[in-house]
Amino acid sequence: MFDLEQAILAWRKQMTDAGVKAPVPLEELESHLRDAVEERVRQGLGEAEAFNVASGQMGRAGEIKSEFDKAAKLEMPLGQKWGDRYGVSFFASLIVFYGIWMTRLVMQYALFSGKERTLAFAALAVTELAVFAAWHLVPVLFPIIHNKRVESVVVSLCVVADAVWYVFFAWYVLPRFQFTPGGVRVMTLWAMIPILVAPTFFSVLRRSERAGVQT
Amino acid sequence: MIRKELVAASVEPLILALLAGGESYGYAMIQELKARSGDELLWSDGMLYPVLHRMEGKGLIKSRWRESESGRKRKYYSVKEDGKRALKAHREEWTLIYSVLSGLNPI
Repeated sequence: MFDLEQAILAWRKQMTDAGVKAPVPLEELESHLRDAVEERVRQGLGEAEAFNVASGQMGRAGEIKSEFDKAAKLEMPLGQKWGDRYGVSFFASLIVFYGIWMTRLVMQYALFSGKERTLAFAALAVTELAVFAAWHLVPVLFPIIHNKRVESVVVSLCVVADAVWYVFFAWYVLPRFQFTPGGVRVMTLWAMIPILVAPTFFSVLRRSERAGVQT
Repeated sequence: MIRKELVAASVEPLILALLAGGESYGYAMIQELKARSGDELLWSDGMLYPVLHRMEGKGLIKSRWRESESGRKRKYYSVKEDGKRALKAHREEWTLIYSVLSGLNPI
Protein backbone atom coordinates (compact mmCIF):
# COMPACT_ATOMS: atom_id res chain seq x y z
CA MET A 1 0.00 0.00 0.00
CA PHE A 2 1.47 3.33 -1.10
CA ASP A 3 2.09 5.81 1.71
CA LEU A 4 2.49 9.38 0.43
CA GLU A 5 4.12 10.64 3.63
CA GLN A 6 6.73 7.86 3.50
CA ALA A 7 7.36 8.56 -0.18
CA ILE A 8 7.85 12.27 0.58
CA LEU A 9 10.21 11.41 3.44
CA ALA A 10 12.27 9.24 1.06
CA TRP A 11 12.25 12.06 -1.52
CA ARG A 12 13.42 14.54 1.14
CA LYS A 13 16.25 12.17 2.02
CA GLN A 14 17.32 12.01 -1.63
CA MET A 15 17.37 15.80 -1.70
CA THR A 16 19.33 16.23 1.53
CA ASP A 17 21.75 13.47 0.47
CA ALA A 18 22.42 15.48 -2.69
CA GLY A 19 23.16 18.54 -0.53
CA VAL A 20 19.88 20.45 -0.82
CA LYS A 21 19.59 22.23 2.49
CA ALA A 22 16.77 21.80 4.97
CA PRO A 23 14.59 23.46 6.04
CA VAL A 24 15.33 25.91 3.27
CA PRO A 25 14.90 25.50 0.32
CA LEU A 26 13.68 21.96 0.93
CA GLU A 27 10.44 23.10 2.62
CA GLU A 28 9.53 25.16 -0.42
CA LEU A 29 10.33 22.30 -2.80
CA GLU A 30 8.24 19.93 -0.69
CA SER A 31 5.36 22.39 -0.71
CA HIS A 32 5.61 22.43 -4.52
CA LEU A 33 5.71 18.64 -4.68
CA ARG A 34 2.59 18.37 -2.52
CA ASP A 35 0.78 20.89 -4.75
CA ALA A 36 1.78 18.89 -7.83
CA VAL A 37 0.63 15.59 -6.29
CA GLU A 38 -2.71 17.08 -5.18
CA GLU A 39 -3.30 18.53 -8.65
CA ARG A 40 -2.67 15.18 -10.34
CA VAL A 41 -4.85 13.31 -7.86
CA ARG A 42 -7.65 15.81 -8.64
CA GLN A 43 -7.11 14.98 -12.31
CA GLY A 44 -7.79 11.34 -11.52
CA LEU A 45 -4.37 9.74 -11.01
CA GLY A 46 -3.75 7.43 -8.08
CA GLU A 47 -1.56 8.79 -5.29
CA ALA A 48 1.43 6.61 -6.20
CA GLU A 49 1.35 7.56 -9.86
CA ALA A 50 0.72 11.21 -9.03
CA PHE A 51 3.76 11.19 -6.75
CA ASN A 52 5.96 9.52 -9.36
CA VAL A 53 4.99 12.00 -12.06
CA ALA A 54 5.30 15.02 -9.75
CA SER A 55 8.67 14.00 -8.29
CA GLY A 56 9.97 13.24 -11.80
CA GLN A 57 8.81 16.66 -12.99
CA MET A 58 10.58 18.25 -10.04
CA GLY A 59 13.95 17.22 -11.48
CA ARG A 60 16.98 15.37 -10.18
CA ALA A 61 18.28 16.29 -6.74
CA GLY A 62 21.85 16.83 -7.95
CA GLU A 63 20.74 19.23 -10.68
CA ILE A 64 18.57 21.23 -8.30
CA LYS A 65 21.44 21.49 -5.82
CA SER A 66 23.82 22.59 -8.55
CA GLU A 67 21.36 25.30 -9.72
CA PHE A 68 20.96 26.58 -6.16
CA ASP A 69 24.74 26.76 -5.83
CA LYS A 70 25.00 28.76 -9.06
CA ALA A 71 22.18 31.07 -7.96
CA ALA A 72 23.79 31.63 -4.56
CA LYS A 73 27.09 32.62 -6.18
CA LEU A 74 25.36 35.05 -8.50
CA GLU A 75 23.09 36.61 -5.90
CA MET A 76 25.58 37.13 -3.12
CA PRO A 77 26.93 40.69 -2.95
CA LEU A 78 30.72 40.94 -2.82
CA GLY A 79 30.74 42.04 0.82
CA GLN A 80 28.62 39.07 1.78
CA LYS A 81 30.86 36.67 -0.21
CA TRP A 82 33.86 37.99 1.71
CA GLY A 83 31.90 37.88 4.93
CA ASP A 84 30.94 34.26 4.39
CA ARG A 85 34.42 33.25 3.31
CA TYR A 86 36.48 35.15 5.84
CA GLY A 87 34.02 36.43 8.45
CA VAL A 88 33.65 33.12 10.25
CA SER A 89 37.39 32.49 10.35
CA PHE A 90 37.97 36.06 11.51
CA PHE A 91 35.42 35.82 14.30
CA ALA A 92 36.69 32.38 15.41
CA SER A 93 40.28 33.72 15.42
CA LEU A 94 39.13 36.72 17.43
CA ILE A 95 37.54 34.52 20.09
CA VAL A 96 40.59 32.24 20.27
CA PHE A 97 42.90 35.28 20.41
CA TYR A 98 40.75 36.78 23.17
CA GLY A 99 41.07 33.55 25.16
CA ILE A 100 44.85 33.34 24.74
CA TRP A 101 45.44 37.04 25.38
CA MET A 102 43.30 37.09 28.51
CA THR A 103 44.89 33.87 29.80
CA ARG A 104 48.32 35.51 29.50
CA LEU A 105 47.09 38.61 31.33
CA VAL A 106 45.55 36.53 34.12
CA MET A 107 48.77 34.53 34.46
CA GLN A 108 50.89 37.67 34.61
CA TYR A 109 48.72 39.86 36.77
CA ALA A 110 50.20 39.73 40.26
CA LEU A 111 47.20 41.23 42.07
CA PHE A 112 45.00 38.18 41.50
CA SER A 113 44.46 35.99 44.51
CA GLY A 114 44.37 32.24 43.86
CA LYS A 115 40.58 32.23 44.02
CA GLU A 116 40.28 35.21 41.66
CA ARG A 117 42.64 33.58 39.19
CA THR A 118 40.53 30.41 39.23
CA LEU A 119 37.38 32.48 38.68
CA ALA A 120 39.09 34.36 35.82
CA PHE A 121 40.05 31.11 34.09
CA ALA A 122 36.54 29.80 34.65
CA ALA A 123 35.14 32.94 32.99
CA LEU A 124 37.41 32.44 29.98
CA ALA A 125 36.50 28.77 29.70
CA VAL A 126 32.77 29.58 29.93
CA THR A 127 33.19 32.31 27.28
CA GLU A 128 34.81 29.97 24.79
CA LEU A 129 32.31 27.19 25.53
CA ALA A 130 29.33 29.55 25.29
CA VAL A 131 30.45 30.90 21.92
CA PHE A 132 31.09 27.37 20.64
CA ALA A 133 27.72 26.16 21.96
CA ALA A 134 25.88 29.15 20.48
CA TRP A 135 27.52 28.48 17.11
CA HIS A 136 26.23 24.91 17.07
CA LEU A 137 22.96 25.19 18.95
CA VAL A 138 21.38 28.38 17.60
CA PRO A 139 20.44 26.79 14.23
CA VAL A 140 19.00 23.76 16.05
CA LEU A 141 17.18 25.48 18.91
CA PHE A 142 15.84 28.56 17.16
CA PRO A 143 13.38 28.50 14.28
CA ILE A 144 14.50 29.99 11.00
CA ILE A 145 13.02 33.45 10.74
CA HIS A 146 11.32 33.73 7.38
CA ASN A 147 10.40 37.36 7.71
CA LYS A 148 13.24 39.78 7.14
CA ARG A 149 11.67 42.48 9.32
CA VAL A 150 11.31 40.10 12.24
CA GLU A 151 14.92 39.03 11.71
CA SER A 152 16.06 42.66 11.76
CA VAL A 153 14.08 43.26 14.97
CA VAL A 154 15.68 40.19 16.62
CA VAL A 155 19.18 41.25 15.56
CA SER A 156 18.58 44.85 16.70
CA LEU A 157 17.27 43.60 20.06
CA CYS A 158 20.47 41.53 20.47
CA VAL A 159 22.62 44.58 19.77
CA VAL A 160 20.57 46.84 22.07
CA ALA A 161 20.56 44.20 24.85
CA ASP A 162 24.32 43.93 24.50
CA ALA A 163 24.79 47.69 24.76
CA VAL A 164 22.35 48.00 27.68
CA TRP A 165 24.12 45.20 29.56
CA TYR A 166 27.51 46.84 28.96
CA VAL A 167 26.32 50.24 30.23
CA PHE A 168 24.50 48.68 33.19
CA PHE A 169 27.59 46.71 34.17
CA ALA A 170 30.08 49.57 33.78
CA TRP A 171 27.93 52.29 35.34
CA TYR A 172 25.87 50.48 37.95
CA VAL A 173 27.35 47.11 38.89
CA LEU A 174 31.05 47.89 39.15
CA PRO A 175 30.78 51.16 41.18
CA ARG A 176 28.33 49.63 43.67
CA PHE A 177 30.65 46.98 45.00
CA GLN A 178 34.02 47.25 46.63
CA PHE A 179 35.98 44.98 44.34
CA THR A 180 39.68 44.34 44.70
CA PRO A 181 41.70 45.22 41.53
CA GLY A 182 41.77 41.52 40.68
CA GLY A 183 38.05 41.25 41.44
CA VAL A 184 37.21 44.04 38.98
CA ARG A 185 39.02 42.15 36.23
CA VAL A 186 37.35 38.87 37.11
CA MET A 187 33.92 40.54 37.04
CA THR A 188 34.73 42.16 33.69
CA LEU A 189 35.68 38.78 32.22
CA TRP A 190 32.34 37.32 33.37
CA ALA A 191 30.48 40.37 32.08
CA MET A 192 32.07 39.90 28.66
CA ILE A 193 30.34 36.54 28.14
CA PRO A 194 26.96 37.87 26.91
CA ILE A 195 28.74 40.62 24.97
CA LEU A 196 30.72 38.02 23.02
CA VAL A 197 27.93 35.46 22.70
CA ALA A 198 25.40 37.94 21.26
CA PRO A 199 27.32 38.51 17.97
CA THR A 200 27.64 34.73 17.60
CA PHE A 201 23.91 34.40 18.16
CA PHE A 202 22.84 36.83 15.49
CA SER A 203 25.55 35.97 12.97
CA VAL A 204 24.51 32.30 13.13
CA LEU A 205 20.87 33.35 12.93
CA ARG A 206 21.61 35.37 9.78
CA ARG A 207 23.62 32.56 8.19
CA SER A 208 20.84 30.04 8.89
CA GLU A 209 18.34 32.38 7.37
CA ARG A 210 20.48 33.00 4.29
CA ALA A 211 21.13 29.30 3.87
CA GLY A 212 17.56 29.26 3.10
CA VAL A 213 15.12 32.06 2.78
CA GLN A 214 14.21 35.56 3.43
CA THR A 215 11.08 37.65 3.26
CA MET B 1 8.95 22.95 -27.46
CA ILE B 2 10.97 26.13 -26.93
CA ARG B 3 14.75 25.69 -26.74
CA LYS B 4 16.37 25.48 -23.31
CA GLU B 5 18.57 28.53 -23.94
CA LEU B 6 15.62 30.71 -24.81
CA VAL B 7 13.68 29.48 -21.80
CA ALA B 8 16.65 30.36 -19.59
CA ALA B 9 16.89 33.84 -21.11
CA SER B 10 13.19 34.54 -20.76
CA VAL B 11 12.51 33.12 -17.33
CA GLU B 12 13.35 36.29 -15.40
CA PRO B 13 11.15 38.67 -17.43
CA LEU B 14 8.36 36.09 -17.45
CA ILE B 15 8.44 35.72 -13.67
CA LEU B 16 8.52 39.49 -13.23
CA ALA B 17 5.59 39.89 -15.62
CA LEU B 18 3.62 37.21 -13.79
CA LEU B 19 4.28 38.75 -10.41
CA ALA B 20 3.45 42.22 -11.69
CA GLY B 21 -0.10 40.86 -11.89
CA GLY B 22 -0.08 39.94 -8.19
CA GLU B 23 1.50 37.76 -5.52
CA SER B 24 1.98 34.11 -6.47
CA TYR B 25 3.82 30.93 -5.48
CA GLY B 26 6.11 28.62 -7.43
CA TYR B 27 3.68 25.91 -8.42
CA ALA B 28 1.03 28.39 -9.57
CA MET B 29 3.62 30.33 -11.58
CA ILE B 30 4.76 27.21 -13.43
CA GLN B 31 1.18 26.19 -14.15
CA GLU B 32 0.32 29.63 -15.49
CA LEU B 33 3.41 29.76 -17.73
CA LYS B 34 2.64 26.30 -19.07
CA ALA B 35 -0.96 27.23 -19.76
CA ARG B 36 -0.10 30.55 -21.41
CA SER B 37 2.53 28.94 -23.64
CA GLY B 38 0.36 25.98 -24.58
CA ASP B 39 2.79 23.65 -22.79
CA GLU B 40 5.66 24.87 -24.99
CA LEU B 41 7.49 26.58 -22.17
CA LEU B 42 8.69 23.69 -20.05
CA TRP B 43 11.43 23.12 -17.56
CA SER B 44 11.93 20.94 -14.49
CA ASP B 45 9.80 22.36 -11.72
CA GLY B 46 12.69 22.34 -9.27
CA MET B 47 14.73 24.66 -11.50
CA LEU B 48 12.33 27.54 -10.89
CA TYR B 49 13.32 27.94 -7.26
CA PRO B 50 17.02 28.72 -7.72
CA VAL B 51 15.92 31.44 -10.17
CA LEU B 52 13.42 32.84 -7.67
CA HIS B 53 16.05 32.84 -4.93
CA ARG B 54 18.55 34.55 -7.21
CA MET B 55 15.99 37.21 -8.17
CA GLU B 56 15.19 37.72 -4.51
CA GLY B 57 18.90 38.12 -3.77
CA LYS B 58 19.08 40.75 -6.50
CA GLY B 59 16.24 42.65 -4.81
CA LEU B 60 13.80 42.23 -7.73
CA ILE B 61 11.22 40.25 -5.82
CA LYS B 62 10.39 39.50 -2.19
CA SER B 63 8.75 36.57 -0.51
CA ARG B 64 6.76 35.62 2.55
CA TRP B 65 5.38 32.39 3.94
CA ARG B 66 1.66 32.33 4.49
CA GLU B 67 -1.02 29.78 5.01
CA SER B 68 -3.05 28.77 1.98
CA GLU B 69 -6.77 27.95 2.04
CA SER B 70 -5.84 24.27 2.47
CA GLY B 71 -3.98 25.15 5.68
CA ARG B 72 -0.59 24.32 4.21
CA LYS B 73 2.13 26.95 4.23
CA ARG B 74 3.33 28.27 0.91
CA LYS B 75 5.98 30.77 0.01
CA TYR B 76 4.45 33.65 -1.92
CA TYR B 77 6.48 35.97 -4.08
CA SER B 78 5.75 39.52 -5.12
CA VAL B 79 7.58 42.05 -7.24
CA LYS B 80 9.52 44.95 -5.74
CA GLU B 81 10.08 48.41 -7.23
CA ASP B 82 13.45 47.34 -8.66
CA GLY B 83 11.70 44.37 -10.22
CA LYS B 84 9.14 46.65 -11.89
CA ARG B 85 11.97 48.72 -13.33
CA ALA B 86 13.76 45.57 -14.49
CA LEU B 87 10.56 44.33 -16.12
CA LYS B 88 10.22 47.61 -18.03
CA ALA B 89 13.80 47.26 -19.29
CA HIS B 90 13.19 43.62 -20.26
CA ARG B 91 10.03 44.55 -22.16
CA GLU B 92 11.91 47.21 -24.12
CA GLU B 93 14.69 44.75 -25.00
CA TRP B 94 12.34 41.97 -26.04
CA THR B 95 10.18 44.38 -28.03
CA LEU B 96 13.27 45.62 -29.85
CA ILE B 97 14.44 42.09 -30.64
CA TYR B 98 10.95 41.16 -31.83
CA SER B 99 10.68 44.23 -34.06
CA VAL B 100 14.13 43.61 -35.57
CA LEU B 101 13.38 39.95 -36.13
CA SER B 102 9.96 40.57 -37.66
CA GLY B 103 11.38 43.32 -39.88
CA LEU B 104 14.01 41.02 -41.38
CA ASN B 105 13.06 38.70 -44.21
CA PRO B 106 9.32 39.13 -43.76
CA ILE B 107 7.45 36.14 -45.05
